[in-house]
Amino acid sequence: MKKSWKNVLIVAILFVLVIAGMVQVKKQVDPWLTPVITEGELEATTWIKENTSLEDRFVADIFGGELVMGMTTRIPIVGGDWANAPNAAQNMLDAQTIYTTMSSKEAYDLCKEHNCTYVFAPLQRQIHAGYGWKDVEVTKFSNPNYFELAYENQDVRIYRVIY
Amino acid sequence: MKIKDRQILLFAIICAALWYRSPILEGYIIPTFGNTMYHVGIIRKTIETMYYPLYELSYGGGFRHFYVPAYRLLIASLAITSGIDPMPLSGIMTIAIAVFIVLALYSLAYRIYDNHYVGLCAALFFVLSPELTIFTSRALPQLLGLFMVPLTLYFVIREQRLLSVLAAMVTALTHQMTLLVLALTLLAYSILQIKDRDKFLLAFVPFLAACATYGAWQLYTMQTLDILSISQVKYHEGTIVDLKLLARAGLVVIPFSIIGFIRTFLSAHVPRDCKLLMLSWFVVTLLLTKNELFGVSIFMDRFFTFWVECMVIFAGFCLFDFLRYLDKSLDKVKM
Repeated sequence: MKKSWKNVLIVAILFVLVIAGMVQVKKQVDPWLTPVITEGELEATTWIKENTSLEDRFVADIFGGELVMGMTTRIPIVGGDWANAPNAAQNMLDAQTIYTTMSSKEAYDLCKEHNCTYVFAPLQRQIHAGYGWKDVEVTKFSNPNYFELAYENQDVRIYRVIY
Repeated sequence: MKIKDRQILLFAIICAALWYRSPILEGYIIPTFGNTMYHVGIIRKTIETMYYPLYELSYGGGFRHFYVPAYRLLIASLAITSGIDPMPLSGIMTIAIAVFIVLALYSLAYRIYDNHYVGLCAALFFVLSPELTIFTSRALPQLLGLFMVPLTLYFVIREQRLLSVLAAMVTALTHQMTLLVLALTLLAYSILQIKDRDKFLLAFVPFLAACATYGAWQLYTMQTLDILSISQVKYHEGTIVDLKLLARAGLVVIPFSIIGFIRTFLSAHVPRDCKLLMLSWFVVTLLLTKNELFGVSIFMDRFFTFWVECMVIFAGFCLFDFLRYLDKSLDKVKM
C-alpha cells in the first residue's frame, strides 16, 4: 500500500473512532449534567440566607436540601452524606411523607418530630427524598393552623412551621 | 521552542475534554447529581468559620463527619484566595482537575510504555469514555481521587519514594473509595514484588502511609476506626455493573482495552515492573467492581470508574500498536 493511502486509512480510522466515541459520550453524559434545581429555587436561597438563622432546620428533598446546605449552610433533614447519620432512612421516609401526604396534621407532626422550622416546597419539579421521584402535594401547607407562607416565587414556596 | 506534533495533539484532546465540560459553567448552577452542592455547603461552612466542621450539616446534622477533607480544603483555600464563591469555583475546578487527569493518564501511559504516543492514545480514550466523563464533570471528591491514583502510580513507577508517600497520604484524605483502590493496588504490587526488597518497599511504604493517614483522620473525626457501621455498608449502597453499565466504559474503549491488556502482557518491550503495576491496578479494580460476587455489594459502580481509568491505558497501547502496524513509520518518530 502506498504511504499516502496508509495515512488516509489511519486518519479515517481515527476519525470514525473519535466520532463514534464522542456521540456515545454526549448521549450518556448530558443527562448527568442537568441542574435538577430550578432557577427560582436558587434565587430563594438568598432569602433563606438573609431571613433565617443557622439553627433553622429545613424539610427538603435531596436536591433541595443540598441546595439549601450549599448556598446557606442551613441544615436539611435529607441530603448530603448519610454515612454516619443516625436515622437517615427514617429521615428520607418522613421527608417524603411530608411532601406527599394530603394531611396537614400528619405533615405538621412530622415537621415537629424533626424540629423543622421551614418547609422548602418546589413547585416546578418532582422531589426525590431517597425513595424515587414523587409529586409534591402543596395544598396541605396552606392550612394556617400548621404552616405559614414565608416566601414564594414561580418555582418554590417556603413555609414556616408554626410552633 | 519548537512545538511538537504530540503537543498539538495533546492540546486538541484537552480542548475536546473542555468542550464536553462547557455546560458546567453555562448554567445558573453547577450539575447537582452526586451530592455536589453538599460539598459546596461544607466548603462554605469552612470559609465562613475558618474551621473544617467536625459536625455534619447533612440529614438533620449534629453528628460527626465521615468525609475526608482534602478536596473541600482545596476548593475552600482557592475560594478564599480568589474571592470567588465556592459554588461557581467548584465548577471551574472540576474542569481544571479534569484536564489534570488527562495529563496524569498521558504521563502514566507514557512511563508505562515508554512512548509518548501511547500516552496520547490513552488521553484520547479518556475523552471517549462516558464513564470517565460523567465522573470528571461533577464537583466531587472522587474527581480529585481520579487524578491522585494515576499520579501516585506514576511516582511509584518512577521510583520517586518521597513523592509517592506524599501522594498516597493526600489520596487517603481525598476520598475513601479512592483510598481503597490505591491502597489495595499498592499492596498487590508490593506482594508481587516481595522478592525484591527495594521494590517491595517502594509500594508498601506508601500503602502504610495511606492507611495510617486515613486511620488517624477517622480517629480524629469519628473517634473510632470502625467503618463497617456506616450507612453505605449497612444498606449496601451501590449498583451492580451489568453489561449496560459496562458499556458506559465506552463502546470504543472496551475492545481496545481487552486487546491492549493481552498485548501488554505478551510484549517483550514493556518492563516487568510496569506490567506488574498495571496488573495490580486492573485486578484490584476489577475485584472491587464485582465485589457483589463476594457478598460485599458496596459501591460497585463507583469502583468501576477506577477500572475504566485503568482500561483506557491498555486501550491506548492497543490503538498505538494498531496504528504502528498500519504504518511502521510511526516507529521512526523520535521519542
